[in-house]
Amino acid sequence: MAMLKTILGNLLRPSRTRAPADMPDVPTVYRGALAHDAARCTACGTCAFVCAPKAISFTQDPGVSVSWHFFIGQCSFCGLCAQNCPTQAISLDAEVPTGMNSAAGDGLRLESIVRLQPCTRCGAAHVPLPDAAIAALWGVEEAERGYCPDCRRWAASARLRSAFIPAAAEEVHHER
Amino acid sequence: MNTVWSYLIAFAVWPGLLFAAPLGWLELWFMRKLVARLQGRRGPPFFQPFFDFMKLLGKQTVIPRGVSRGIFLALPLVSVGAVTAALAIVPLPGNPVPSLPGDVVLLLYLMEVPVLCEVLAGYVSRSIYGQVAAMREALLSLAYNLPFLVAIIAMAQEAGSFRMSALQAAPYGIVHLLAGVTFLLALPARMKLNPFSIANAEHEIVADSHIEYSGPPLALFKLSHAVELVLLTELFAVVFIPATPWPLVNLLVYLAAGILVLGGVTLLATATARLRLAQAFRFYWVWGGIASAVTMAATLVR
Amino acid sequence: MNLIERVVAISRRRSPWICRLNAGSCNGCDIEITPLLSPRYDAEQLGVELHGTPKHADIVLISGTLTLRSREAILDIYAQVPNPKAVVALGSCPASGNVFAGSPLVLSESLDSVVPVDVWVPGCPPRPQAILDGIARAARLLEDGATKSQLQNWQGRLS
Repeated sequence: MAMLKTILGNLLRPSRTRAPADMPDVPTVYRGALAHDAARCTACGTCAFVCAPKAISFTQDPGVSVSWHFFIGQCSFCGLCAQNCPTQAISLDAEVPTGMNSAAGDGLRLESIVRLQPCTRCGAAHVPLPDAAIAALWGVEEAERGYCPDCRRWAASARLRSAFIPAAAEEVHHER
Repeated sequence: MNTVWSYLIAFAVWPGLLFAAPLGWLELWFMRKLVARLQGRRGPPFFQPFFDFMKLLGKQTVIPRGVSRGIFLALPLVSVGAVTAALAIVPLPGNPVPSLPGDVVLLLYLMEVPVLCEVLAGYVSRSIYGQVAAMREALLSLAYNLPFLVAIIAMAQEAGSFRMSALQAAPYGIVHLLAGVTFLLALPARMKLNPFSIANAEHEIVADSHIEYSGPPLALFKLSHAVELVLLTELFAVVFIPATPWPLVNLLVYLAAGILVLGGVTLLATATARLRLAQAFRFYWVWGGIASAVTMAATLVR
Repeated sequence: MNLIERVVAISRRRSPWICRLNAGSCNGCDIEITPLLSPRYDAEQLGVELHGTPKHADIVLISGTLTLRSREAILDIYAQVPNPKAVVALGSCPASGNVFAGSPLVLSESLDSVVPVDVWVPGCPPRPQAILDGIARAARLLEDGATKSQLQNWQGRLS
């Protein structure tokens, strides 16, 4: 009888079906396809390291660029990469990835190219740090912005040295 | 020559294939839509059974290895032919077929043919699921045919003739009501609907006995089922609904009665779960048997 | 294209019957098919019917990691589906093996190397609306005669 009441109630109410064009929204914390911001990426490789199914990988074109690759067909949408990214370069879209029919037969592949820049001091090609990271970590000196990691290390040690031996500061400036 | 033409027209045009197929699709759509609405869903679009049929016509037929090609392809044809021939005998208004003595017996025989075809289809397909479905179908037909046949035979006893036209014209009485209830009792099992859908228990034995069928033969089986729906509902209407002197009014009343019966049966199917074979069998032999006995007694008492 | 062929082509889009094939899935994708039959998503509004037997199906939904043993089963069931047919791959596993790739008995390759796949539905598991969208795409491909199996047959007939 309870069943009869339920189904007759359904008959009198409008149906609860949503049309294909009018599907319910996903929750705001939904983990969809990845999005990558090349301007914030430092190509540190943490995302590729934590990715269990190896959906993320890096390739390099030595001296020119580093590419961040993502293959949606290998992703478990766990979000570990976004959680572990030190510069928040990776985010997950809060929308449903739709069906694909690509000619390659294997779905969405993203490639995001991080261009290498020459070091303003020694000229070695390196991945530039995002501005926010520079400001937070080293920030102070304008000249150090374009340095490669080696030159940053050199600049840091030079600063340290000049703090202990003020006379050495002169030599540093002469050196270059 | 004239009689032959009238048979041909009755078989092919009215009330045969040309009208019964769209009517059957309409009834199928009505049932599916009603089930969907009762479950709170939107349900299929209006032309859905037609699209299903046309799509199946355009598909390849896969014949399993080791299956006799002839009988595999003949079964659906025989099924559609028998059901349509049975419908051609039913004295719907405007049916050109002359009334034969004993056409009730012919009708009852023709109505058993699609059941036989399903049983055979299950057995020839060499699929274990098909064979289980065929076994269940055969056993269940032993059960539901008791109230079904008794309902028609009681009406023949009441009318004193095995003519469909006599059954239709019999003066209305208590036997009509009792036999009508007995007929309705057998209807869900004949239509293979829930609680008595153990024979075509989808997702339990994968599919019904047409499990190995595909393409046009499957389309013909689906068509046969659609025409069978029309046949059963219109047979109920013709035999158990009092006729008026105006053929057009009769026709509308019959169609409306058919849709109403389908609605009731669908409501029952949606509200109930599937009975096991032994339970369904016992239901028909106990309650169907009691209803049959009461109906026969009522015809004899008069 | 005459009228009947046109009607049959439209019918293929309007009546896609699906058959589900679990090739070694964790059941996540299969559970996401169940809501398709529920009041919210109701696949029947697109004419979809879920059938247990591949003989009745137009679209095969393949979910799960491909394993050495399921490869034969996939080929067998795919061969039983009558033409024209389409294949929809559900989730990440058929595309690559996902987290199971590299395990000893897992084929760490795309499903495309076993049967021709027409639509890939991304997700792990995909949401029901994504699956419904994938079925609708496959049905449209069936109407246009543009599924891979249809194209292959057509080329096969020409040569």
